[in-house]
Amino acid sequence: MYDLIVLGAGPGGYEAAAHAGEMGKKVALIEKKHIGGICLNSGCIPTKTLLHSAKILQVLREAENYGIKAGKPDIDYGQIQKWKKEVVSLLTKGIEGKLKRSGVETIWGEGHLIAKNTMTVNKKDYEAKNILIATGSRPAVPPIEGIDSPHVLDATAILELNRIPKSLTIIGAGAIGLEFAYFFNEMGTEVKVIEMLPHIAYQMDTEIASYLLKSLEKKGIDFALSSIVTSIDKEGISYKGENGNIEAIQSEIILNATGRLPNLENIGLDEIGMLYDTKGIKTDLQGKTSVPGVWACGDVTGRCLLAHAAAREGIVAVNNMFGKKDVMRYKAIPNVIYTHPEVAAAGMTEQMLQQEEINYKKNILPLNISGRFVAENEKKQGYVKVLTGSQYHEILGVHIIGGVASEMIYGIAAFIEMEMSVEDIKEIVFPHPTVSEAIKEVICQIK
Amino acid sequence: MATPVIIPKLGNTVESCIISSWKKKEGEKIEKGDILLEIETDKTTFEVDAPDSGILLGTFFTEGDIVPVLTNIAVIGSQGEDFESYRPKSEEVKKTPPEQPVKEKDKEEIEIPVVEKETVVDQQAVKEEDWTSGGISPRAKQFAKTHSVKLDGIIGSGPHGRILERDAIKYFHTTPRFSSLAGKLLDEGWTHKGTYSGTGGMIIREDLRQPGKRLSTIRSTIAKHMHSSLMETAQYTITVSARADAILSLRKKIKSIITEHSIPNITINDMVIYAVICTLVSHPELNAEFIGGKVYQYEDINLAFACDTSRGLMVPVVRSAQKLSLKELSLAVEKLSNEAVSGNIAPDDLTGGTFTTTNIGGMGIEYFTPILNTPQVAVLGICNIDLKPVKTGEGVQFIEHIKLCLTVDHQVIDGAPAARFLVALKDNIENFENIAGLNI
Repeated sequence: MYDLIVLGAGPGGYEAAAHAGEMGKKVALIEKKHIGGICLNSGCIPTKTLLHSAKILQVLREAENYGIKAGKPDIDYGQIQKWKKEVVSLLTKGIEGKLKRSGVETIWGEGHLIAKNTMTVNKKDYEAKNILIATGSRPAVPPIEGIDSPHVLDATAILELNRIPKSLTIIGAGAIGLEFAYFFNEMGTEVKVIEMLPHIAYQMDTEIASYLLKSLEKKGIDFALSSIVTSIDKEGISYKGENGNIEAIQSEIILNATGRLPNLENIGLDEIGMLYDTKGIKTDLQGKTSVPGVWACGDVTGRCLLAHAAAREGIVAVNNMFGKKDVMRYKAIPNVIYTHPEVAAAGMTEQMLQQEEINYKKNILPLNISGRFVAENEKKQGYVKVLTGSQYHEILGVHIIGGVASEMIYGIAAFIEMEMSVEDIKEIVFPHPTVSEAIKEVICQIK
Repeated sequence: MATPVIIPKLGNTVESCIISSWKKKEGEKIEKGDILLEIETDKTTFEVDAPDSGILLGTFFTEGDIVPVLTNIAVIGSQGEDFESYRPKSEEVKKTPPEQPVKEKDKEEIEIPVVEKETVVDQQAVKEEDWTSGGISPRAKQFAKTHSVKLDGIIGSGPHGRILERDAIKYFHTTPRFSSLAGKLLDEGWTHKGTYSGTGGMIIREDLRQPGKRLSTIRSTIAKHMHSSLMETAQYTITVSARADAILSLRKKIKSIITEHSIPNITINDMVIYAVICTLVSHPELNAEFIGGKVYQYEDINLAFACDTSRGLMVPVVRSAQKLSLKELSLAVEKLSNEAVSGNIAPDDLTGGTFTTTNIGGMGIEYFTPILNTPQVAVLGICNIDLKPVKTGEGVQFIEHIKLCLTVDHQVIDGAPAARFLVALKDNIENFENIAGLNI
């Protein structure tokens, strides 16, 4: 009898398993394919290695502006792929080590619930006091004619592509679509992005998203917004544009980045009477499902499809199952798009505030009020937008585009988690010269 | 030869000390100069050394006791030696109440105390009652100052709740912190719901509730009255439906002639109240109050009726209602209602009721359980008029019925008399012409 069986070794599952192991619990982790899940094997991490290569390329192209003559850079796509594999392999070992140190037993195979406390893997039954479902998600396949053509790839498949395509059409301008758009555009591919909504990066503040759109367009990426894909054939893709006309374009590769679906199938949810819908398993803020003793975290719950949210959800569930009260808070989960410029946000967007009729103040400043930003970003722009409560001046949301926004946003998450106000933050000393000073500056200007 | 251990005089102003902790146990072998115990004064703590070597034969005080200076607190000597002669006389010292089991509690997981202003006040009140309010030790004060802790209202583990440094430290480590925003909100009168949703159990906005609205005087009175009604009686409700064709046809007739004749606008409600009054005449046990174990049955029917006003529920009273004709009753009800709604009703018109009716049928309510207007023993709820299938010689007919809910106090009225009243009322409504006449 285990204290906990975790189904799925993605960032939600393995962090939870390791945490329970560190608490001295007897833990088994069931995984059918890869330790690290989508995040490590075909998501967050491999895309970051590709994007780093793209950013180096961009730096080299712009090096002359900073007094460095690097000549015309060449791309060795094989080496880019090799580096990606090395990184993944290195990090996999890291996670395996962590699981081993925490005493977690890994069971390889497909897990299936046959009772609320029994999991079958490879025809063998395993019993546990608690079961945590962390089976993640997979790319959604919209009902478009020709979507099953061989040149239509999803995010996992495009990572394995062994060449740089001449042309690429991306369906969906969410974080995944935009990151691949940026990457392949830098690699020299002709990139077109088709988005159903009138703006890109739907989860981001629309004002910040419009700055991102401008800077990606400037790099040569072609966007078709408010457009719906109608069909896909051998040569390319047809879509109904903003003006209602059907347009057809040729495209060597098409990337389906339209969203993700929870992995609910073949794990025995119906056998144990689990409550779920197409978005995912229903959970409360402690990670409990409708079945006592069965918990869920990560993409499979459909709450927040981000690796870092999944990890926290898993830890919250483990804490609660072993008697330590804990609660999941979603109000300060950072959201990042790793394009260049990077976009990072924590807290509410201006649209959310308007929708919820919360009174707020808005301050926005260009990042070039920071000396370091100017020194390192010749002729480029960036912005930091701060939304605060009208009455108590608490930080409601911060949205940054430019610089290494992703590395600064955790500080904002802390401000929001601690419910700090403008007055509190004014007392914090920020290092000089850094891009983060712009955040302090915009906050200091709030009256 | 045994040697007594005394509390040293630590200065001109120090009269007594608190024993903070014993470092040696009775029966333990000790060397001269060993630290025997720690004592605490208003200013600081001191260690008391063994004045001699030997066995610690006996100790006279326990941790937390207040001991005057120069009192014997222990004896050192040889094994088996008698030491009772050193024991201080009981009147010399004030012993504290039995020591609270603070030490064991410390080891357990400490529950985060709920910081409620009310609790704080209560504890202070308790402390003030205690003639030897323990106060705060200087070291605790110092800790509080350097760590920005407010010690008001906490009860310490020292004698008489004296707050010692260890209490201050424990309080500091176990008291939940408030986020900056939550702090501001608390100042504005928000209160803690009892949850701790922030990082590390910090109290954040979602753990607070907005300041509550004070009840108006009239609302408070209603609240008290309703609550005591349910607390102090054994009320139950029975229901019946009465054929409404008689009162409906009368109402129709009134509507058609009201403009030509100077008659009041007699409503369905007026007619039901009139029927109630007629029924009460023959069932006086329901026209009564139950006060202090005695039933007071009245000849006069002072009919109270619930009236919805912008300031809350009001219950005007039609006095000696059994003496009024239907027209007079209708006029009286209308006048009192208008006065109640406009807020200029005389206070006397809101007291002295012997039976109450309440009507929410106009809003389509089918059944409800009216609450007794205590000390009255009965209240009638008047509901809507609806079609009801009735088996007749010609098959099933749908006939309009009015529903009535009677709540009575079972302490005084049993089910059968209540049922008899309600059935009689039903009969009077169904045969309204028998009690009111049709000549208006």
